Amino acid sequence: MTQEIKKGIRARIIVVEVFFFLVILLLGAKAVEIQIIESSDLAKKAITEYTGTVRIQGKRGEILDRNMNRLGTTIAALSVAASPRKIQNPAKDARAIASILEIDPVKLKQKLSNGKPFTPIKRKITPDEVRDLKALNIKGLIFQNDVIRFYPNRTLAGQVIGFTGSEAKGLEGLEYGYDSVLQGQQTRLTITKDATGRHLDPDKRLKEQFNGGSLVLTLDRNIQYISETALKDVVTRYKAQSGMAIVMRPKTGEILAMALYPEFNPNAFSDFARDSMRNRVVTDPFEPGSVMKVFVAASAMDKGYCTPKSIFFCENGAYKVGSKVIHDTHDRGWLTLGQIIKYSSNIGTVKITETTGKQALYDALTGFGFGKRTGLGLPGETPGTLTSPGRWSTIDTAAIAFGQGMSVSALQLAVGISAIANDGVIMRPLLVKKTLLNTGETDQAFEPQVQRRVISKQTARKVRRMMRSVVSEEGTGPNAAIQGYSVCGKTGTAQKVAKNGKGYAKNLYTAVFAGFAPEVSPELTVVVVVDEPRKNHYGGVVAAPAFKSILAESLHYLNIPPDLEPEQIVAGISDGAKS
Amino acid sequence: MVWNADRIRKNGVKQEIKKIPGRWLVILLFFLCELFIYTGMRVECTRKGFQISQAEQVRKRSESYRKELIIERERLGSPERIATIARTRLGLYMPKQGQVVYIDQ
Repeated sequence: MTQEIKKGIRARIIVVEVFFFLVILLLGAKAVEIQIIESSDLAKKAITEYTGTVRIQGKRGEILDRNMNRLGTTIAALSVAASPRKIQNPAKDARAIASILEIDPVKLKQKLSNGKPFTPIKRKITPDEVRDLKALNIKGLIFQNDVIRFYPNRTLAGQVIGFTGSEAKGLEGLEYGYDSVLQGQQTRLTITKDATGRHLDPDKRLKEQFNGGSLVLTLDRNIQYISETALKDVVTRYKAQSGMAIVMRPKTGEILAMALYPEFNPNAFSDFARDSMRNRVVTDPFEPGSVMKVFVAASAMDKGYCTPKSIFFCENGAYKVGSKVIHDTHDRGWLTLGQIIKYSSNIGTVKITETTGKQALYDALTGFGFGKRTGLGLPGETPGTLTSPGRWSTIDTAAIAFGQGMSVSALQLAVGISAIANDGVIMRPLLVKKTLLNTGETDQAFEPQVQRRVISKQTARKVRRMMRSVVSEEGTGPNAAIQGYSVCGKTGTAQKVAKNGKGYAKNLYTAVFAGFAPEVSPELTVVVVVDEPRKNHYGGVVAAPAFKSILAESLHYLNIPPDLEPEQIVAGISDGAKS
Repeated sequence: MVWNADRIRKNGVKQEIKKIPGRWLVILLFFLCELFIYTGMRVECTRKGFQISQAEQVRKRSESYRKELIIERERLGSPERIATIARTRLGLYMPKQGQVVYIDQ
């Protein structure tokens, strides 16, 4: 009996052992299958379970002025969307949402009734709108993180900076021209998530590497404001169509201000007409009028055709060229070259070009950069209009000599005038000082660049002396004189082409004043252009006071002291109609 | 008799149990420990991940707030606003010619 029991027990033990052995064998086999045979497939499955990919759009870079003040930046915002499947009462909810967001309730109701899992409602909503929408407590409303392009100085340099569209893509101005620098990269990132789908993303800083670069401009926010204020005053006072002003450092070509009026607010670009968005300083050509006389005189002197004391007979105010008669504002007889500039004699300037010939005139103007783009790098830059001299008739040559029958941009004019201020050397205009990487380090620095010498240093000094006389009480631009500073300038009053394109309009003018100070070592060049002023149209009356205001305040702001002794101070107030 | 049979069976089982080598128990214990430690570590890892993620959210919110403050400062310091305040509230005006003294010259 004992033996039988023992046998029975042993048999059962063996059965149990075999059973456990088989179980362990099976487990082992499964472990081998999981760990070795199917490991790569299972690892992939596991990864898909706890990781996911998200689309990352790097933030657009900033636009800064020369003192690192923000002119354009990107800030966080929210967008609202809906899951129509979860919306219980589309009609009622659409009315409530539409009243907060100020959108069409009928269209919104259609969106909320479309049965889709997701439908966008409105992007970039304000914090107040978010608060009010959340208070509605509507199930199915989704708030998503978004970004918004913001311009803290509102209209300041609005047309220069430009704006971006809904997809953060530059559409105008620097935003468009330097889109490739500013634009953040778009990519997909793999992130870790838990069983409920929440993101476990400790590496958010990785996203920052996809942000766009920034632009540091040569603009100075305060000088820009000074220019815009002066321009607004003059355009309003003379009920003009528009105005432009540019402030430049002649020694480096750096643009400190580029002002336009009427103003444009890129924060609300859709509220403005397309025409007001354009940076007309760069894109729009205009006939500059008598300002061009300084370039004619400079070239004639530089090529040895005449000196400041060379005299020309000004025909007592009327001179027949071909079938046309050219007039001066005042009847004058013999004038020196210096006096021709001082009194802005059209006839005297025509006489100079008759001495030099039309090819020399063409060479002079192209030498100063007219008829071709300056290379500033902004989109839509105009080269102006300067046809080849072979196509000029006698009257064309005469008209071009005093700035009619050709066109220039305000930027070209500033570059040309700056060449005289810079001892005859043309500098490439600079608006972007440097580009920065998203880390804040400098990516590319743009140094002042000499383009060419157009006239000699001596000639430039002689022209400056002549331009100084323009601002004297006897000249055409005494309204530009600043007490304590030796201001050099030139007035310009140009007739505008008639709207129908046939000849010149009788009452439409462009008033211009271009100049710089101080005379010996010019620090600032300023050009002011006023389009279609009404009460008066002379450059010396309309544009010169704005020029004076911009230059005087900018000189004070930059701490540039007066260069004249008290007894040398030239100041004058004149309402005379001189040009 | 029954009592005897039970006793003999129990003795047999005890003898069989004694036959199981101690090292298997150690191995079993080791794997059990490993399982618990691994599970604990994964749980802790996930918890820390959440904490880091929350801390990152706080950092992001703070950074965003800082950026908003900077932009607000830019807006408040815009020349247009400063000039308006200077003129309307403080009664200041741009100095006329001769009213500016350059002290560093």
